[in-house]
Amino acid sequence: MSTYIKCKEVRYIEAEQIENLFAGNIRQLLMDAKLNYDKLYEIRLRVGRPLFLTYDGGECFLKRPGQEQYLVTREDLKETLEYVTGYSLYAYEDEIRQGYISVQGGHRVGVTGKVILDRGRIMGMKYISCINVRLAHEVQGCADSIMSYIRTQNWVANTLIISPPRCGKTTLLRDIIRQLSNGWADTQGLTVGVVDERSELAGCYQGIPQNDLGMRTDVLDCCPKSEGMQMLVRSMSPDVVAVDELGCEEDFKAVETVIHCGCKLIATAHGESLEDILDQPFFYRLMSEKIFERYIILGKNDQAGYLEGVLDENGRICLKQ
Amino acid sequence: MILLSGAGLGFNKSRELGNRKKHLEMLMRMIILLKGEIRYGNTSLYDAFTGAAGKLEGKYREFFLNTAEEIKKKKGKPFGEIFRSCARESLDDQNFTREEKEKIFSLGERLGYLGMDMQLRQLQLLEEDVENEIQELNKDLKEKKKMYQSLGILLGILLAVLVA
Repeated sequence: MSTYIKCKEVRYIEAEQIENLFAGNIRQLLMDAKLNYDKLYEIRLRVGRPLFLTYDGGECFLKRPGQEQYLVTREDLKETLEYVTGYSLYAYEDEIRQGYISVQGGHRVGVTGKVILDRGRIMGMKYISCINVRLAHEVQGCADSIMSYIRTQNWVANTLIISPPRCGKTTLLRDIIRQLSNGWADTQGLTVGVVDERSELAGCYQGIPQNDLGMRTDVLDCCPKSEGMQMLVRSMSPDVVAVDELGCEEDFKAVETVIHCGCKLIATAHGESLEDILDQPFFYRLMSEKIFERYIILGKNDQAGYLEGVLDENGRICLKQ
Repeated sequence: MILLSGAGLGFNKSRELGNRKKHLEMLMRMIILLKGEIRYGNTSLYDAFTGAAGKLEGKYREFFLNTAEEIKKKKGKPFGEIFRSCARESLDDQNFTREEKEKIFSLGERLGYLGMDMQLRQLQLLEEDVENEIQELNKDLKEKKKMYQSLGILLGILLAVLVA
C-alpha cells in the first residue's frame, strides 16, 4: 500500500548546533544578535574582514555592542576549524582537499586558503583564510507542482532539471527524490539510489542523511557520480537513480548504463535553457536519443526555485508558467 | 595486634606494587586502542574515544566516555582542557606517579593538532614511556613484593618486641 506524506515547507535549524561550530568570540556575537536561524543562510568568516551573514534575503555584518564591526582574526578561524572538525583536523584531510566539510544538521562548511599541489594534484590546504558556513536548506513540497509530469501510477520519466546556479535545482531534486521514495499522491513509493558526490543532496554526517530523502532511499555519499551510478545499479537494484550536476564524459557513460539496466534517472545540469545545454555534445546526444523524457527548466527570478516550464522528450512544452 | 599491623602494612605495599603494574598495563591498552582507532579507522577523536571505550573497563572506560561526551558538547573549550579535566576526574586516584600523571594528563594538548602522523607519533611516545615503566617494574617485581611483605612482618616483630 502506498503512503502519501503531506508536503510542507520545513527549515528547522537548531541555533545551538550552529553557534557551537564557532570560536568563542563569534559564538558570543551570534548569541547576542538573537538571530532567527530560519532566515539565516550563510555565515562567512574572512581573516581581517567583518563577519558577514546572509540573512533574511540580504547581507549584514555583526558588531559588538557599542563598537565598530567585529573583524575576524586568524585565531578565530583556527578555533572554529577545531570545533567544526571535533578537534580532529587530521580526520578531515580528504574533505579539506575538496574544499568543504559536512557537519551535523546537513550544514556545509566551505574553506579556502593556500592550496598545496603535488604534480598538479591537490594534496591539501594551508593558511586557511576563509570559512563559509552554509546552512542546510530543505524545502519540502517544492516539487508538488511538477510531480504529476514525471510520475504516474505506472511510469516514471527520465528527468533532467536545468537551472543556472543558485536557482534551486538541488533543492528541487531533493524533494523529487523524497516524494518518489515515500510515494506521491496515490502512487507507490519507489526505491531510489542517490549518488551524492558533494554531500549536497542528503547532507550526510557520518554516513547518515541529515536531509529527508524519503524512506526508500539509499545514499552513496562522497562517491564520484560515474562510479556511484554503476555501483548502485549493481548492488542496490534501485527503481530510480538520482544524481546532481551531470557534466563530464564519464557521467554520460554511466547514464547509459543506468538507462540500459532499466532504471530511471533523475538528474540536474547547469544551464539557462534546453538550447543552452544542447551546446554540449553529450547532452545533445542524449536529447537526440530521447533519453530524457522530461526537462524541468528553472529560471532566475526574485527568489530561487522559479519554474519556467516542463518540456517533453521532443522539447515540446508540457507546462509553462 | 602490632605484629599483624606491621605485616598488613607490608602486604599492602606489596599489593600497591601489583596494582601499579595492572594500571600501567591498562594505560598501555588504552593507548594502543586509541592508536588503532585513529590509524585504521581514520576516525575523529570523538569516534576514537567512543570506539575504544567499548574495549576498556572501569575507570578507563569512564574516562574515555566522559571525554567523548565533552567533545560532543562543543562547549568551546580547548581539547587539552577537556582531556585533562576528564583524566583528573577518572584517573587521579590510580596508581601513577606524579610524573606519569602529568604525561598522561597533558596528552590531550598534543592530540587533534596537525596531521595523522602527528597523532600517532604522540601516542607512540607515550606508549614507549609506559612500556619502559612496565619493563622496569617487571624487572624485580617479585623480589620487591616479597621484600615488602618480609619487611612488614619484621617491622611488626620489632615493634612488638620494643613495646613488650
